[in-house]
Amino acid sequence: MPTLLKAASIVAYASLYSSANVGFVLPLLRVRDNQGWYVQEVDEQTGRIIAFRTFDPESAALGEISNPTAVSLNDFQIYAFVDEVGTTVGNKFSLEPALRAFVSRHPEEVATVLQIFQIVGALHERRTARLQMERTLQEQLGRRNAQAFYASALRSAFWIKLIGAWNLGTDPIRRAELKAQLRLYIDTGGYLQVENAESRNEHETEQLQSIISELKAEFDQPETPIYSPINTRFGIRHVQRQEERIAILISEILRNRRTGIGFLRNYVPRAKFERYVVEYLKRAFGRAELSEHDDEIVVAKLVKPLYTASFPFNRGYLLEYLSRYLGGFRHINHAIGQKLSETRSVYVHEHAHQIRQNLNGGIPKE
Amino acid sequence: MEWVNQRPDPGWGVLPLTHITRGVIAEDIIRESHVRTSDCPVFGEPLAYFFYGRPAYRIGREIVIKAEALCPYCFIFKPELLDRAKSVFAFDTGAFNARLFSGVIASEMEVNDFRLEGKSAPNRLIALVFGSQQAYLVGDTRVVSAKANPHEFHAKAYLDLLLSPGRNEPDDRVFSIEVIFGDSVGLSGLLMAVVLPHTLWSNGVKAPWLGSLADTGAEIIPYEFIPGRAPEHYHTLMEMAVKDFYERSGILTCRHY
Repeated sequence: MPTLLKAASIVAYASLYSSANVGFVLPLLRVRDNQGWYVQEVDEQTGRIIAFRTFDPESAALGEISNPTAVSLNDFQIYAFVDEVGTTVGNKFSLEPALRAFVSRHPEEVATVLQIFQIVGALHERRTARLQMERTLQEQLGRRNAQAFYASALRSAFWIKLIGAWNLGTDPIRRAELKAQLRLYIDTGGYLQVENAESRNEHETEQLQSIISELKAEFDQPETPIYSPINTRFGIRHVQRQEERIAILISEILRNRRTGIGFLRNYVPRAKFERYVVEYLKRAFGRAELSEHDDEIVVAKLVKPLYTASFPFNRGYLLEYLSRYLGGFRHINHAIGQKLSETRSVYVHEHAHQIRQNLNGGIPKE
Repeated sequence: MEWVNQRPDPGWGVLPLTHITRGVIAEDIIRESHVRTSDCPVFGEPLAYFFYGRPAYRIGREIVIKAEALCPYCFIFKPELLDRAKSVFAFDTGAFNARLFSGVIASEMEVNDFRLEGKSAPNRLIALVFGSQQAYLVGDTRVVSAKANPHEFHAKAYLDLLLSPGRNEPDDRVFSIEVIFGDSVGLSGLLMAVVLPHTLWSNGVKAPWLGSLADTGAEIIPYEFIPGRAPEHYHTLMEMAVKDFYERSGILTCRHY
C-alpha cells in the first residue's frame, strides 16, 4: 500500500527469479529505524517517483547493495541491474553507460538487450533489438509465437505513447475505458490499426494518427517480415478493416475474374461502407458488355467515387489499402496517385508516405 | 441466478478457462504440472479459481513490477475443463467477499445468490447481458441493454453493479464469470497455452522449467516485458495476447480489442 514517505534509501534488491544471473532486478528501499521494505511507484508518463509502497519480499532472494542510494519523491525512477561485474543502481540516465557496456559484452542476451534499449535506446536500436528477439523466438518457438510477441511489442509501444499523449497517468479506470473504446488490431501487413478512432474528437484522432505513423517507422519489417499480406480471398473474412477487405475483394476480381466475381456474388459485407462498395461492384461487373480487359479501367474509375463515399477519417486507410493491393495495376495506380495529389485531407496525409511507397512497389500485377 | 436460467441457450461454443498468477507461482504450477487448490477465505475450503474466457484476475496491483517473478502469467485451459467445475459465479467472489461491491449490492445478498447453474449458464448470461462472446471478452459494457424486472432483486443488483460508474473498484472483475474447482487441475491434456514475459528466452531457453511445458504441446506466448511499468500495462498486454490466441485458434472470429 502507498505510504506517506518522502524519501528512502535503496539498500538491497530482490532477484525473484531463480535462474537469472543477469538483468534487471527489483530495487528495495528502507528508511532509518524501520525494518520494512518499500518499492517505488512511478508515474509512467514522467518516469518520476510518485510514492513509496510497502513490499513483502516473501521468499525472494535478496542481494545487498554496497553503496545505498538515497531517493526522494519526484526523482526519476531508479533501476537496479545485475551483470557479471556486480549490481549497478541509478536512473536511466546515470545507468546508460553501464547498460550499453553490457550490450557490447553480451549481444547474445537478446531479451535483456531489448529491455535495455526500450529504456535507453534510440529508435533504430529498439527496432534492431526487437527484430533480433523476434528471430530468436521464431527459431525456438515458431512463427506464430514470434508474431504474438511482435503484436505485444507493437501494442506496448502504442499504449506507452498514448499514455503520454493523452495524459492518462496511472488511472486504471480511464485505461480500462479506453481499452474497451479503442479497438486495436494488427492488420495483415503487421500494422496496428485502431477502429472507432472516428468516435474521438478531432484533436485526439489526429494524435492517434500521429502515434500510428510514428510506430510504422519503428515497426516496419522490410527484412524478413513475419507478417505478409493476404493474397487469397479465403483470408478475407478474418481481415478486420473494411477498407482492406474491399481492396482484397477487388484484387481477387482483377486477378481471377471468374472466381473473383463468383465470390463477389456470394460475399456478405459486414460494414456500411463495404455494403455500398459491394453493391457498386456487383452493378459494375454485372454488365454483360464488359470484358475482362475493361475491368482495370472500371476499377480505376471507381477510385474517386469510393474516396468520396468513404468516411473522411478513413480515406487515408482506403487509399493505403487500395495502393497496397492494387498498386500493381497501371491505371488504378495512376488513379490513386492522382487522388492523393489532389486531396488536402490531413487524414490522408498521415498515410501519404506509405501510399507512395505502395504505388512504387505494391503487390505486382503478376 | 434464476434470471439467467430462464433464458435460452445461445448455442455458442464453450470458452476456454483462464488461470492467472504471478511468476513465482507459475513456476510451481509448471514444475508440478498442476494448479493446486489453496484455502479459500470466502468458502472456507481448498479451491482453485479460474475465469471463463476472460483473463481477468489481477495480480501485484500494488507494486511497480520490475521482475519476471512478479509479472502476470496466464494459463489457458481447454473448454472441456468446465465439466469438472464445482461452482460457477457471475463475478469475482473474492472481490464480493472483500465488500468491493458493497456500494451497489445489498449486504443481505449472499455470494451463492449469484451462482450460475449448468454448463450453458455462462453463455446464457453472456448472451443476455453482452449479446456476444466478443463483447464479453472485450469488456464492452456500452452494449449492455439487459433489463431486470423490479422483483428480480439479484439480477437488478448485478446489472447495477455492471453499469455503475461510481463503484470503488470499477474493473472488469464485476462481470468476469468465475469458475471454481474443488480439486487440483492437471495441465496434461488440458492446457492450451501459457502467456508469459519474453525475458524467459534469450540465446537459449533461459528458464529450464519451461522445457517440459513445450513438450506438452501447449503454446507458449511471450509478451514484451519492459521493467518499471505499471501492473496494468502488463495485464493489458497479456489480455491482448490471450484474445489474439482465441482469434487465431478459431475460438473467436473477431479481432476487436
